[in-house]
Amino acid sequence: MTLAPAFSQALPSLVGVRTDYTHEANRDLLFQLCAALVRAELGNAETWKQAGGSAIRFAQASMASGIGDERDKLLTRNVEYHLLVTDALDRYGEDAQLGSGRLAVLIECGGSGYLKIGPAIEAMEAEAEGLGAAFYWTLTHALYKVMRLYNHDDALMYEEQMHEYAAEDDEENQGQYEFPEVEKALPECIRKTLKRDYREGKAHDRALLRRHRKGQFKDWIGRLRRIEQLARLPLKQSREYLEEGHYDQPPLPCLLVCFKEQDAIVACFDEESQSMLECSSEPALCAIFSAANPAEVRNALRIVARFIQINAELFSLVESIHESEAHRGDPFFDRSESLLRAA
Amino acid sequence: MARLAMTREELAALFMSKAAEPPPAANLILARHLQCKESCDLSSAIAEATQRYAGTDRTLLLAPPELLPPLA
Repeated sequence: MTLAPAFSQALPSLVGVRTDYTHEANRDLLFQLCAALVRAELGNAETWKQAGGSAIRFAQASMASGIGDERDKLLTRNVEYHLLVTDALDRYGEDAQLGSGRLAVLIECGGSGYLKIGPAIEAMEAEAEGLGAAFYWTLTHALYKVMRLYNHDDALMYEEQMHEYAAEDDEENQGQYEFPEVEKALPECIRKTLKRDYREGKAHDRALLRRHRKGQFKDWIGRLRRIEQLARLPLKQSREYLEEGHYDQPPLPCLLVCFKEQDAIVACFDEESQSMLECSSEPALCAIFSAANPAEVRNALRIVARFIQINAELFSLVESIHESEAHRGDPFFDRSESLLRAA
Repeated sequence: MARLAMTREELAALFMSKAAEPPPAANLILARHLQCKESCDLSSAIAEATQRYAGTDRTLLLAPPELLPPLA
């Protein structure tokens, strides 16, 4: 093939023309963030050298070093999170500048994790009556403090909603409704404790778990204890902005908790997840801060660090539970490709 | 003697001084172009043309005669 020589009067030569530009909108904020990351010991001179003079690359590498390679791989295997730092937040579908030198650190969930906890509950109940239920309720209440789950509660609400729809519908359409019967799908120990007094149940569960913390399930109970301790830290996210109603729905669930493969909870999740990605969802985490204010930066970093630590403990626990099922010959059903992404 | 790597304090001070600097000229030019509708339309047209040219259908774009001289 012969290429025609460029006709110099018509086609401009590209020699000497810069082929890349970095556009740093609000670069003062970006550099303030970089300074804050350095002060928080998340980036250093080596990181700056490797970033080749790009503040954005420096900020990304510094934050990645804070998460750590191992934890990053663990989370990537189990859930889909996106961490971003931004000077604008979504407001009715459009970006709205935060202003006043403020930034927001967000973690958005694009695909839920998956925990099939039924066999673990069964094994713990075989060890001591009530231990499996104690583990389940303690984990559930600890996680409720920091992330959205999809579990038996959501499935029960969905079922109730289906009954309401059916009641309002014409009589000839009644046969078209299928009800998931969530309560029947729960393990007996969970069903029995579903409507107990919260405080009494909590005290009972704590005592039971303490008695068994050095037993056969010490690793799981140890991880649960760490999750509980982290969840108790009084770290206040910037929920007020989210509660002003700029998003269509609460955060997407970070974890689907079911008892068996394809049980009623999974069926409800599959139905509900069809529409979960159709509108805007709150981020799983939101902390607004001023990069020039060291106390606010520290607080935002602690909020993010806590979220990542809890998730690392949680998904280590999830992998350990699923591995123990695999050892018992119970094949693990990989739902990682179907969770939310298919919606 | 080679200069030792910057300390954290020096690096943080460097970033704070950069934060106080006015944006570089190239940044301003780019920002102006990103706010200019014609520039954005032109870049979209080039991006679309690149997509077509780099596509798998091997379709060559017709060269506008006023830009390329005849080969003969």
